[in-house]
Amino acid sequence: MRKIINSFIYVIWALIVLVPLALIVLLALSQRWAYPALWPTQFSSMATVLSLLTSTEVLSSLGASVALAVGTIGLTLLIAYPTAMALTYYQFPGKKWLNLLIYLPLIIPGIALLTNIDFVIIKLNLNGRYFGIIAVHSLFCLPYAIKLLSDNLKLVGPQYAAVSQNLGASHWQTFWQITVPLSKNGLQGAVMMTYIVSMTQYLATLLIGEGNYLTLSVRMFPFTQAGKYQLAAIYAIVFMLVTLVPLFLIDSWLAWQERSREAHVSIDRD
Amino acid sequence: MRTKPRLVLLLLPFSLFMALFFFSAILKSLWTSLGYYPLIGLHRLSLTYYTAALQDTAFLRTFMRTFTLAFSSTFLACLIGLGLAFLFSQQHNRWTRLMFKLSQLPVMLPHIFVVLALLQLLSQTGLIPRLLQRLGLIDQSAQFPLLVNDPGQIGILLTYLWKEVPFVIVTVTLVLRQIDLRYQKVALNLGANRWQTFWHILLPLVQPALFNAFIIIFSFTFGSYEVPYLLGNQQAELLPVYIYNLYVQHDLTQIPLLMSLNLLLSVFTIAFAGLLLQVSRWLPGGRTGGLR
Repeated sequence: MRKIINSFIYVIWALIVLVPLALIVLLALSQRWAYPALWPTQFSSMATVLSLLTSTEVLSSLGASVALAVGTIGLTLLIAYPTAMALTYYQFPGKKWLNLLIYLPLIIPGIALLTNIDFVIIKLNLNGRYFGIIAVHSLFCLPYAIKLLSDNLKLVGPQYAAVSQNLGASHWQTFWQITVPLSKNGLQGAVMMTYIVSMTQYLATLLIGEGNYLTLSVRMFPFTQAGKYQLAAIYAIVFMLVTLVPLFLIDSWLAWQERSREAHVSIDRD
Repeated sequence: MRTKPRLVLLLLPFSLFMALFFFSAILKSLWTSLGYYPLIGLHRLSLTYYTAALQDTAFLRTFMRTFTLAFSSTFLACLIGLGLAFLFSQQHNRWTRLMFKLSQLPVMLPHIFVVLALLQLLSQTGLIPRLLQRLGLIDQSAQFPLLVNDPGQIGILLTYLWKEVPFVIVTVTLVLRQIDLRYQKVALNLGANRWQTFWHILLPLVQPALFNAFIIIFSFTFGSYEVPYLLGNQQAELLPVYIYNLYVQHDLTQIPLLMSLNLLLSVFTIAFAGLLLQVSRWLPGGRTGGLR
């Protein structure tokens, strides 16, 4: 009985997650799906869908999304990594407060923070500029990145770095050859999370970017609002292709690597 | 390695970044909200804008409406997410792993995805009213209750649940995986039933992470603009839309008032988060920090 109920919940949950995504795929493929049809009355030809997917608007917004995401990842890691090291390996007064401060950008209401920051960005003459947008994206990514990295560094511990220093390696060598490789899992998590957060930003990109960077998320918006669901769905499909597929591949690749490493270990033991 | 100059160097990028983009913004809006705004010739500091904000009934009503929605959607998301996370971690097999993988999907997608799907499904000419009409359960599509852009915010609630329940599942599952299963076995061995094991062993270990998730989700829901803009009802406006509309009017005389609203809301969410952290610390499992 318990088993039946569990399977029932599994199926319902899978449907809740997958039906919206399936609907989006159907919307993108359909040419006519007006009231009162339950199923698209006319599907677009494969050529039409392909030409929509590779239209200049879609490709340019894909370019904008990826450019901003890559910049955000770079800036976020540059700031988050040293901060995570300081929080994990050092004791200093005010550390407790810093640990709370990190979360402030997530706690202050997004709309309040954005309208406040827009002021400063204009003052710094960064409005509509690449660096202005990635700075604001990074602000929302930093809490996640610092948390993921410091959790991971805590797990690794400072001993390996200490050994490397005792053996005469310089700080720089220790950092690049010991600390960074050992925190691979944390880095992977931080990069993935930053990528997702940056890709999904809407208001930050629009407000700070002043319409100069029309990313996938930004372009989907007016289409959805105007009831042009098919066009919005095309952007959604591209979004899924560039987020879910790479993340799934990275995840599977790492799992495969882990398994093959375990296999090696067991052979060594024999 | 643990020397002071090195520590300063490590903290430098974060401090510089926050000073430049975060604290400067907060300070600037603090001055402006207190009435120092030379651009339009305001130089005298006063609390006028704060008293005006706190007496503005439209603002207070919008605030209460938004708080109720954010709190209830976050509470439901935590409850459902916690239940599903426990269910999925009861066993470790192919199906539970698949469920966990599935739950990661909505975390990775923007809110507008589910907005798009909900509009196609639940609007009055959407697929579900079409189906009900086909089945003869309703005569006209207008008989179907208004579920998007509705005054009861049902569409917004559903959107947030679709996004945030998976977030709770992922957070809680990651903690559950770190918990030593022997605690559970010992409790069961000593005669505790499943409910007692859950209540006295697992929940205290998970509770701090759950409270963290609650704070993050609540603050997000409270201050996020996209979903209320697309699925909200004009007669029952929510705070983010209210603030945004005030901001894009480009009426400079409104800016000090807007900044005072922003700061009031920021202080409120910070205080609320602090309160929740205190509650978490006071509950069983809070003092040790559980597993985060």
